[in-house]
Amino acid sequence: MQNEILLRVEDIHIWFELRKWGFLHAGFVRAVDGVNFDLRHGEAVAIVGESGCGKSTLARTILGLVPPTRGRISFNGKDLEARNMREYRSQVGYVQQDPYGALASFMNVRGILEEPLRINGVRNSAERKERIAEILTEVKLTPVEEFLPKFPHMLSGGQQQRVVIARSMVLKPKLIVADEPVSMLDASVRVEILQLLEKLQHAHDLGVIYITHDLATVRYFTERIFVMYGANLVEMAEVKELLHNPLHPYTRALLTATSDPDPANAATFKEVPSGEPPSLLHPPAGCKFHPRCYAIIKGLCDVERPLNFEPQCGHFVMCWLYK
Amino acid sequence: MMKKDTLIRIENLRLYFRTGGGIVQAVDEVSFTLSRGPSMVIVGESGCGKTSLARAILRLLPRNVHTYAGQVSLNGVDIMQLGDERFRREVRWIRIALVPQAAMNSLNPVIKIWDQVAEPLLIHRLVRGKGEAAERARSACELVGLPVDFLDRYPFELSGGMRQRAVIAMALVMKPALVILDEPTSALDVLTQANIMNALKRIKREVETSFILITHDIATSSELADEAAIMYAGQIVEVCDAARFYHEPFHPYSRKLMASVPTLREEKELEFIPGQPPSLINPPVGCRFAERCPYRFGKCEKEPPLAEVGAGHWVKCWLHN
Repeated sequence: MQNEILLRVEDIHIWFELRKWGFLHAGFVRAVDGVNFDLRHGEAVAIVGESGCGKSTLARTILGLVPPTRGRISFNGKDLEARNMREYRSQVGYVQQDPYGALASFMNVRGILEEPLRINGVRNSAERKERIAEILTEVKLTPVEEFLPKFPHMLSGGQQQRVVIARSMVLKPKLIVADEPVSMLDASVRVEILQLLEKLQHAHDLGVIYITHDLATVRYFTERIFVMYGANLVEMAEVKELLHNPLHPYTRALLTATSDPDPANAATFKEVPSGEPPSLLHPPAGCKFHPRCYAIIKGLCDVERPLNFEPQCGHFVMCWLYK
Repeated sequence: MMKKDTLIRIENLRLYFRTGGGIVQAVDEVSFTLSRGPSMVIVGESGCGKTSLARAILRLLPRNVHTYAGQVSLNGVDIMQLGDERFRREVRWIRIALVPQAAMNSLNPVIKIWDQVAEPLLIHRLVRGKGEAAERARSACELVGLPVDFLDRYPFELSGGMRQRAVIAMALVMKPALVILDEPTSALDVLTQANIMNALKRIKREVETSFILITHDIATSSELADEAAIMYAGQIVEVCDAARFYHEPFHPYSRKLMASVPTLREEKELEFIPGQPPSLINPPVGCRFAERCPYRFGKCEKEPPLAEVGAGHWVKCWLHN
């Protein structure tokens, strides 16, 4: 079992210190506050949450861009701290949200894709060329010769995102972290990119962490969903299980609030919890969702932080309702 | 010809821009009618001209306008014929208001919400004094579900959802007959989005205001839609009632678009539309969707008219003509 696990995240806390006048301590922003999960080889998971819940910070830590305040991340059984970062990053690809911002505007597609190869020691230019052609064909930017000299502004949004995906894949990584890869794209292109990611994942047995705020796109290629709220993963389950049997009150609210294109929607009102997501600087005591929760247990939820319960096999939920 | 309860009728509206690359036909021969009461969604992908359409209706034009022509009649009066000053005094914000895209981030940071919501009332001198303006601002805020004590705060003290409500209150404060909402919820979180949509639905029932919702988010648009207009490459390709659009639209583009929307509750195979929309500088002759259309045939080389195929159902496609 042990060697099947690609990425293990253990009790990760990422706190950012706030300072007053540059030197006085003014508290911590607890962007990620105790997150645990395992990702198996070739598994795709989605982290779903609203803006400011800490999902992008978690992604940046997994990429090795932000060191965790506390906790461990191990990749292929080896601790991240003990790893050579250059070697680690060659095995982990990153797909950014905004393709235009992620691509250097002064480099053409050839330059963009060649750079990671050059940095990671592929000295032979013919070899680099071959790899670039291979990856461009795989992301369906063909004919390859036509795309190589193009600059990002000459490509459409969907094509730019393909270049970003190609760049993340060019070193043959084992894990892809995709932070909202389709949220900037149009509906008709979105599906194309999702299907491309799915195809690549199956073809190369990739681990994928797909970060999104949109539950509707999740089920199309991930196996498990992690729901994040207020710096914690509040619910983790297989996609079908989570969509048909959501346990956490927040997950339920999220599912209710997500619209399907159905004309009947116009006639009904949605039951949505009022209020705002918690401040991560001064999070509420106990469960962070308790001020908005319909099922609050007074004296418990507002006092004590809920533990991670497992009411059904493989379905974890951080909520006192399931103790 | 003209129905009695017609609120706004747009005929052959054109808005072209002059740019370095040529003339951009952002809005090209757009026609539709909206009755008093129901709300309409205008759905389209980025760059299809939907925001330009909103600007053309409100005559909020940039400097590089090349052509601005057509008819826009509001309650039977052609407002395109009005002079700019009269348009400003009598139409803009008084009878047609706009919630622009990303408006919540363009609130003035040094002016309290109260002053910003009441500003149009004071500028148009429609109230007797600040007291009455405050009263009207307060009732507009109650309408959108913005707590009244928030009026005394500055924009940075409000969350995104509350700022968006304030912006909607600004549009509603003059009690206009029509409010155009340009992507009102696209920058917001799912729960906030649902809350705002609930508020808009309530307003629709309580007040005599019609909405035109402009969006690319098809799933969320269904929350407010009575009628739908689908826009592609500067043109409206289909106008129909919401039930038709979300279940079985006629135009191949509408169909493909619906097939590409991921759903939460229903299992379906997602499709995508290969290719990309044409450039609006020298758009193709004939049907603009032809290049990506799976059903195209010889006739598509000529431009199809927007033809009525059923009651209130218009399609711009040779297949249904």
